[in-house]
Amino acid sequence: MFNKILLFYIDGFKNLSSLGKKLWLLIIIKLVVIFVVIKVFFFPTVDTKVNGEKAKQALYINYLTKTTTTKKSQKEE
Amino acid sequence: MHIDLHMLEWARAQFAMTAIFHFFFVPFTLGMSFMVAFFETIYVKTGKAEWKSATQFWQVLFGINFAIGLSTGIIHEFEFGTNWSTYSWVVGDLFGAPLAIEGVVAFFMEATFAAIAFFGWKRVSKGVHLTSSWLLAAGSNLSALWILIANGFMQHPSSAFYTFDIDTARLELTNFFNLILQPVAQVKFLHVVTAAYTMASVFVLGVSSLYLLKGKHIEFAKKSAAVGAAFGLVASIAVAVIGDDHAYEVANTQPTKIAAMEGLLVGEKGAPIVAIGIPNHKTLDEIKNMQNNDDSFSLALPIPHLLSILGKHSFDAFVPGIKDLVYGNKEYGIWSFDHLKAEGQRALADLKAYHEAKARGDEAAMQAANADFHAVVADVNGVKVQRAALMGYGYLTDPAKQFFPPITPVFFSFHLMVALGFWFILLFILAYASIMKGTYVDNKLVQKLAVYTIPLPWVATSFGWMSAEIGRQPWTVFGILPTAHSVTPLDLVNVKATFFMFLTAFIVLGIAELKMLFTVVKSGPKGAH
Repeated sequence: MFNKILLFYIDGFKNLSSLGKKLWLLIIIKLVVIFVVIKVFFFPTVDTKVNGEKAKQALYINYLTKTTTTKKSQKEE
Repeated sequence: MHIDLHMLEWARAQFAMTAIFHFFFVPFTLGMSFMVAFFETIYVKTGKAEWKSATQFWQVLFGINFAIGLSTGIIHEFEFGTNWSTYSWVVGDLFGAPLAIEGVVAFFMEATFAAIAFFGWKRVSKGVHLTSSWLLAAGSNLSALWILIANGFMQHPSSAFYTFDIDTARLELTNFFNLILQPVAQVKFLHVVTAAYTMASVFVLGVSSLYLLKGKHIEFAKKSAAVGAAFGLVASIAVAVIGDDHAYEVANTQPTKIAAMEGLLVGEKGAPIVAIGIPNHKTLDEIKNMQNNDDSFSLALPIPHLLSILGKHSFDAFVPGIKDLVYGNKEYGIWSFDHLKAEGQRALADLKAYHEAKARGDEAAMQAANADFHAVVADVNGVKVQRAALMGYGYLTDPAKQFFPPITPVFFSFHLMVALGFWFILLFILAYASIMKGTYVDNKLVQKLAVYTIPLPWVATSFGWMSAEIGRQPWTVFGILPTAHSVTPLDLVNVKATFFMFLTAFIVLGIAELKMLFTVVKSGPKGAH
C-alpha cells in the first residue's frame, strides 16, 4: 500500500507538464524565502527577547495595565 | 510603557497588505475547486471527451492559483507572533484552536486530494478521481470555515464560549461547539464562500465569452458559459440573501460598524438605507448637536425604513446612530462611551489590583479583584456580559478618534461591494436568459460585459473585507482589546523591512500568476494538458 502511494507520487512528479514544473519550482522558492530567509532572519518573536514564560507573562500584564498612547514623533518634538 | 503608533501603523499596513494579497487567491480557489468538480461530474455522467477537456482546462487555471496562493496565509502567523504579540498573548489559546484545525484540515485534505486530482487522471478510476475533486473542494471550503470561526470571535466575542483568566490575562476557550456555532461566524462563512463561487463563475463566464468574441473554441466556450452562468446566478443571489443575514448579525452585535456602513449619525426609528450618497464629514461636537440626519449626506438617495427592516427585521425599529452610541440613549438602553469607559477602567483596575495582591500574597484581595473583574454588568438578550468583556473600553481616551470606525471608507467600501454584488446578479440573469434562448453566441454586448467584469469580483471581495475589518476598528477583539493595544510591546524595526520584502514578493508572485493565467487562457483548452 505504502509503495503504491509512493509510486503514485513519483510517477506524478516524473510526468509533470512544463507548467507543472514551473509551479513546483515557484512553490519551492517561495517556501524557502518564507520559512528560511524571512522567518529566521526577519521575524524574531518576543520569545527571543524575553526569557521564560513568567517573564513573558509579567511583560504582558504590565503592558496591559500600564499602557498609554503617544506618537513617537510627538515625543521627539 | 508607550505604544509607538508608527509601529502600530506599519504593523497594520503590513497585515492589511498580506490579507488583501492572500485574499486574491483564496476565494478563487474556493470557487474554482467546486467549478472543476461540476465540470468533472458532467464529464463522468456523459462520458464525453469535450467535458473532460473542459474540466482539465479549468483545473489548470485552478492549479496555478492554488500553487501561487499556497502558504501566503502563513505570513499572517508570523505577523501574529512578531507584530501582534499582545493580541497573541491575550487570545492565542482561543484563536489558535480553529487556526490549528484549519492547518491540519487544509494540509491533509487538500494535499491528499489535490495530488489525486492533478496526478491521478490516468492512474485512478473515474469515480475515485471525481470523489477526490469533490473532497478537494470540500477541504478548501472547510479551511475557510475555521478561519471565519476565528474571525467571527474577533467580531463578536461571546461569553458563551470563552472566559477571561485574570491570573494569566488570557482568554480561555470554555465551549468548543458554541465557538463553532457562533451565528456571526456561520453567516460570515456562507457569505464568503458564496462570494467565492460568484467570483469563479464570473471568471468562467468571462473567459468563455472572450473565446466567443474571438471566435475561438466555440463549443467549449458555449458549454463553459452555460455552467458558469447557471452556477453564478444561484451563487450571486445566495450572496445577497446571506448578506442580508450577515447585516442583521452586524446590526445586532456591532452597532458602531453598521452605523458607519450606513453613515447613520443620529439614530432613527424606521431608519433608511442610503443607496447612493456622499457622507458629510462631521466632528463629534457637530454630531452631538444634530437632531436628525438631514445634514448627514451631500447627496443622498435614501430608501425609507430599509435599514430597520434589514438590520432589526422590523419596519419601525430604532437603529442607533453614532450620536446615540457615543453619548448614550436612555430610551433604548444604550450605554454612553463614558459609561463603557468607566466599566473598562474598573476592569483594568481589577486586573492590576489582582496582580499587585498576588505579588504580596494577599489571597483575599486577589479574590475580591477577581470577583469584581467577572461581575455581570449587563444582560444582552439573555447573554450575561461580564465587566472583563468591557476591559478594552478602559484604554480609550478620545471617542472622536477611538470609539467608532472612520465612516467614509467603511460607507464606500460597503456600498461599492453591494453595488457590485447586484451587478453580478444582473450579468448572470442577462447571460443565463440569453443562453436559455440559444442566442448567447451572437450576444456580443453581454459577452463584452462578462469580459470586462472578470476583475470586479476581486474588487468586490476586497471591499467586503475592508468594510468588515475597518468597520471593526478600533478593535482587534471587539470590546476586549483595541488594535492600538494589540501590538508587540517592544520596538521591532523589522516590521518596516519585512513590509517592503513582502510587497516585492507579492508583486513578483502576482505577476507570475497573471502571466501563467494569460498564457493558459491564450492557449485555450487544447493546450491545457
